[in-house]
Amino acid sequence: MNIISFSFYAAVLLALILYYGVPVRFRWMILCGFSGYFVISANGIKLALYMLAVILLTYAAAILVDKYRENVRISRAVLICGIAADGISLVAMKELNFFIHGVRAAAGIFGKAVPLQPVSILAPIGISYYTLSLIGYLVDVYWETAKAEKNPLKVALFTGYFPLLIAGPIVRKREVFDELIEGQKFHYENVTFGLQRIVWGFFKKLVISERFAVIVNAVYGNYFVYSGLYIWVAAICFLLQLYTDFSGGIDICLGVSQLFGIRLPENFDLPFLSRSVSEFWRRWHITLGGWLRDYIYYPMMKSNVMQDMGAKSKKILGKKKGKKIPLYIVTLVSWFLVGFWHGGGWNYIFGVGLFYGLVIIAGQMFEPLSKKLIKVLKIRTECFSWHLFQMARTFLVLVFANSLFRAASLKSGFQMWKMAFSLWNPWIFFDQSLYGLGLNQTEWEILMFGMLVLIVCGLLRYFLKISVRQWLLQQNMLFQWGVMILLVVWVFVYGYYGSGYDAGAFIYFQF
Amino acid sequence: MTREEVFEKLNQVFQDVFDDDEIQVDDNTTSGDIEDWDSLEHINLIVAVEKKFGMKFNMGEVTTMKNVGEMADIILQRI
Repeated sequence: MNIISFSFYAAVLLALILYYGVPVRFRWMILCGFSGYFVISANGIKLALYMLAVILLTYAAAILVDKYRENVRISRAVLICGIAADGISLVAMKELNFFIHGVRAAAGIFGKAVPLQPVSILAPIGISYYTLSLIGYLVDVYWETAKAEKNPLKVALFTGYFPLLIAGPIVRKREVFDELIEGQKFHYENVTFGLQRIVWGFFKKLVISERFAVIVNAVYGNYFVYSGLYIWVAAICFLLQLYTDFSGGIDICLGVSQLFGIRLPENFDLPFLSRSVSEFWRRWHITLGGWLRDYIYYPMMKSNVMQDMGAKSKKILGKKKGKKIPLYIVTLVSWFLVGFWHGGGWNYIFGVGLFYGLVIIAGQMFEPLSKKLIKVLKIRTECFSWHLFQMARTFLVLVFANSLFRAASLKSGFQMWKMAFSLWNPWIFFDQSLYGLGLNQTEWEILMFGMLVLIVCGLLRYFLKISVRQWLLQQNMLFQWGVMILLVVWVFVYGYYGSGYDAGAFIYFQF
Repeated sequence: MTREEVFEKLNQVFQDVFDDDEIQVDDNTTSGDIEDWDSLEHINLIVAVEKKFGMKFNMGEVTTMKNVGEMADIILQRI
């Protein structure tokens, strides 16, 4: 079920009527039933049962972890089995080809052929998101930061709540459980805020992202005929396409959820105003970064193995350098997993994983040198121009990394960058060459104006702490609805639907 | 050990980990108040605090602690 379709909103409207029509204490059942309907209509009954089986397994594991809490060996064994089962259920559906390619390549080195062919599997909707939520829940029960839930349907609801299944966010039990289960009373603000958020998401996706997609597809689809600044334009456009597509999708999902009075955690916070790659990952896909930090990074760093390694490396390399060794190892493992989660291809593993890890490690290694340089050159670091330089530097890293993520393979990604530096062709900005990438002048102007609106809203929030939505709420109702209708008309008139009025799928829907 | 004594020791640990003799923490200090206190340094801090007080935080506490006040509460419960 596409969230940019009439049938989806007709179904949501029906669910809303039912939700607010039944007593508050039964409202979670409506959400549970509707989420089940959503999964079955998207996946068919077989995959829905697969999803349910994994949820029930995790539910049972959590109960057992809680029951045998006094016996650490049993509760730990159940925890490990539960995490392994969840992990395997995800890898089997999403990343199997990574291993098949690996085995074939390894056999090829020894001149052997293996009768294994890459497979094409249709995975359950939202599997990458709900699996991480399930693992998080199980670990939280083990750590006693969440109680084991007795009702399996309630576990199914908070991990498989339908707005979470499109592109996340990845949720923890403590963040959503009570709001979902207690049921929410009808509030006018929730409906207006929810609708605003949905329309804003549509604006990002249909007015902006889909136009960037035209340019990106033109260049990436035929990258060998483009060179120089064309590649730069396409790479920058892809980063902006990815942001408006992903954050637009999240806006829609959070907006739909707010119609039911349920607030889901935010996944973006003005990521392109980050001054470092580490900061970027605290502002981009926030719930994935937070999940990884809490369930992979911290436990690994605090493990006895890493602590012992840290103690040894401190003895050999000295306190300052030595303490960084475990940090580098854990950072690389964590970023490998981020890449792997996105897909079993090296363009994902490197472009949206290891590359960021390497940049963060390089930043740590060169920190003393850069501090010295700043001191010697007497650079002011507490001023706007320095911050702007840091933001631009981070943006360039992101452009490069994400271009590998978009490329068909890691090899073609690097080939593109070779061609990006092979020619200096600034005239493409002046001789109308860019109009040959699929968007005419009017389309470019609509795109640039859309971006301008987005940037102004972002800057207002960043510098003046003004939220346009909050500001709107303080206005008279006529004005509020006037702005809303204007935005709706804008999306309808200038939304880019492509042929057959069929907007492209959300990029993060595939993960 | 009194709460004041815990904070006195915590100040020493924070100054050592973040390499800044001017750091003074209180109940409301959070990672937002200390420039280098990011997720990369968080575990180094936790381990240094554990060593100083001869106690252990569990992973749930490591991930949910909101400020230094909560850290001090846990320390006082354990020592």
